[in-house]
This record gives sequence, C-alpha cells and structure tokens, in this order.
Amino acid sequence: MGSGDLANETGLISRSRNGDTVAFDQLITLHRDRVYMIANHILRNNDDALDVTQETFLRAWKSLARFDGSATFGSWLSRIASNASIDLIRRRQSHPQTEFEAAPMSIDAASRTTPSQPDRPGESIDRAEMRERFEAALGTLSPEHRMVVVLKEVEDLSYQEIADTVGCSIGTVMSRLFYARKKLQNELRDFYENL
Amino acid sequence: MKTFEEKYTAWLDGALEEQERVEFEASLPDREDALRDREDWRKLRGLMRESVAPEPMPHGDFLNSQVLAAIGREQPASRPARSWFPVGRLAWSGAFLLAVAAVFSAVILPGITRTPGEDQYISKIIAAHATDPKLGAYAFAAPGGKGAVLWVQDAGYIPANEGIR
Repeated sequence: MGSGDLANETGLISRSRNGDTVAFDQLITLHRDRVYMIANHILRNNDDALDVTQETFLRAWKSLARFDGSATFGSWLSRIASNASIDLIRRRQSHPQTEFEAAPMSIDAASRTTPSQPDRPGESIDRAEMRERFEAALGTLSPEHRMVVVLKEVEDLSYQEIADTVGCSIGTVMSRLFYARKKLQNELRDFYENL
Repeated sequence: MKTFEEKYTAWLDGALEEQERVEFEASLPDREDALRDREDWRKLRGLMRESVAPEPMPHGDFLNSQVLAAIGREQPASRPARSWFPVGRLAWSGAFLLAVAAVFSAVILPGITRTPGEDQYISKIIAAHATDPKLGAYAFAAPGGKGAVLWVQDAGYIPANEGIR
C-alpha cells in the first residue's frame, strides 16, 4: 500500500470512527478479500468463511475506537478474523452439530504418518489434484499452525506481519512455522518426491 | 536467545545473518540432511504457492450490504439513549434562572419600588385632548418622567410641521 493509499485509508478510518458508514463501506471493499482468505484458510469452508468475514467487519466497526494504529489496519482486521475463526472452531468442538461430523484431529506436528495415497511415479498430477492434496495436508494442521504457514508461504508476509496478524510473538511464529513445515513435509513427501 | 526451531526457520528462509548462518550450519548434527531438507521445502513451497492460491471472495458487494445493514440494525441499540434534558443541562439551566432572578431583584425591582404617597400606577394618562373631534389623542407618562407615550388614533396622516408640539 502506497503512502497515498495509506493516507486515504487513515482518512476513511477517521471518518468511520465518526459514524460515517460510506467510509466504512470503502474500508470493507479494500480489505474483504484478505479477511475472507484468512478465514477460509483457517476454516476451510467457504460459507463459514463468509460468515466470519461479515462478523469481522461488524466487530471492527464496534471496536474502531480501540484501533490505535500500532499495527496496520489490515493486520488488525486479520487478527480479528483469525480470532473469530478460531472462536468458531472452538464453539463447534464444544458443541458438535451431529455425531457424524468429525472434529479436527490433534496430531503432533512433527509426527511421521503413512501416506494417504499410494505412490504413482510417472503419472502426471493435475492442478485440481495438487490442490486437493495440499488442502488435505493443511487440514491435518491445527488452525494456529495452518494460519502461520499459509501467511508465510502463500501470502508471503514477514514474520512481523504474521505476528501482528495472529497476535503472538515473532518467536512463536517461527516456532509454529518449524513444526508446521515438518508436518507438511511428512504429509506430502510421497507427493513431491515423485515430481 | 533464539531456540533451535527459530534458528532453523530463519535458516530455511535465508533470514540469518552471514555470521549466524555459518555458526548455525556448524552446529547442525547432520548438515547434509539439513541441506536436503531445505531443498525439499523449497520445492514444496513452490508447489504450494501454485496450488493454494487465494480465491477472491464471491459476491463481495453483497457482503458490504450485509455488513452495513447489520450495522444499521445495531446502531440505535448500541448508542446510549440521550435524554431530551439531561441532568447536567438541567443544573446549568437552574443556575442561569437563579442568576436572572438575582439580577431582576437587585436592578429592576428597586427602580419600580413605590415610595409612600407616590402614585401606585406604573403609568398614567396625562392628557386626552384633540382639536379635531374625529381624532383621539392620548398621552401616557411613567412616574418620575422615566418615559412617555403619545398615542394618536384615527389620524390619516400627521403633517410634518404639526408632528409633536
């Protein structure tokens, strides 16, 4: 975001604080894709991600007075989205909707697991299958580990930006990255070694 | 003091200073295995970026309208109800009225206080005479010559040279 964009965003935040919903509408448009992406990566469900995106902007509107500018507005929103997503997962875990819905498993991030699919050397892997494998592997991570690895590897954020987004220290971000990467490598070893 | 995990992560991302990198690589129990691990991760990272690209949010404008509608529904309830005449304003109004009463009693009332024997009326008619029977002329004066009113009734006009004598 350039300095002009930043000044414009600062103006929009200021107007929103004074109750200007037109300004807040513009802030939503600026940040909705990123907020949705974060929610979707944590929740892995489009409908839930849309609900959390809406809730994130509502929470932001109510808490605008508490935004002190120590992090960027985008990071602040991302943190709200991240917390709202994790809250939703915890609510679901404590109140499962049906007995057939599998709760996310807690697996040691560094554990070795059996490949979920047999090796298929020489066979071309199409994009959809690749995506499916990655999504499945990401699904074995805890929401906190999944979040940092996606923000680092897909969104290419710095450690500091991730720390601001997730709301933890840089050391915690790096530690989570270490275990999340090990876990993903173990999950996908058969996949990438045969490419 | 960085933990091994933190250093390893920074090493994998190429985020260590040169001196730190040399020291860290020297401390690795199996450097070759670590280098292989780093290469594996770089390959995996490339694939991941290719396949887990973020999807744009569907129906973005609809989301905006939903959020703004929810704000509109919550706004009246979330704002504190403002009294038409809050306590603070009531106190200030009371003080103002007391001040007006004090000024009135200190400045205005002494001016209209009657001394014994003085006329009890605030004003009185001092003349009621007009040469033209169609006209009515009345003059009022406040006690002590503090003010006078000349009232001319039914006059179509008053010539300038006959104005007031």
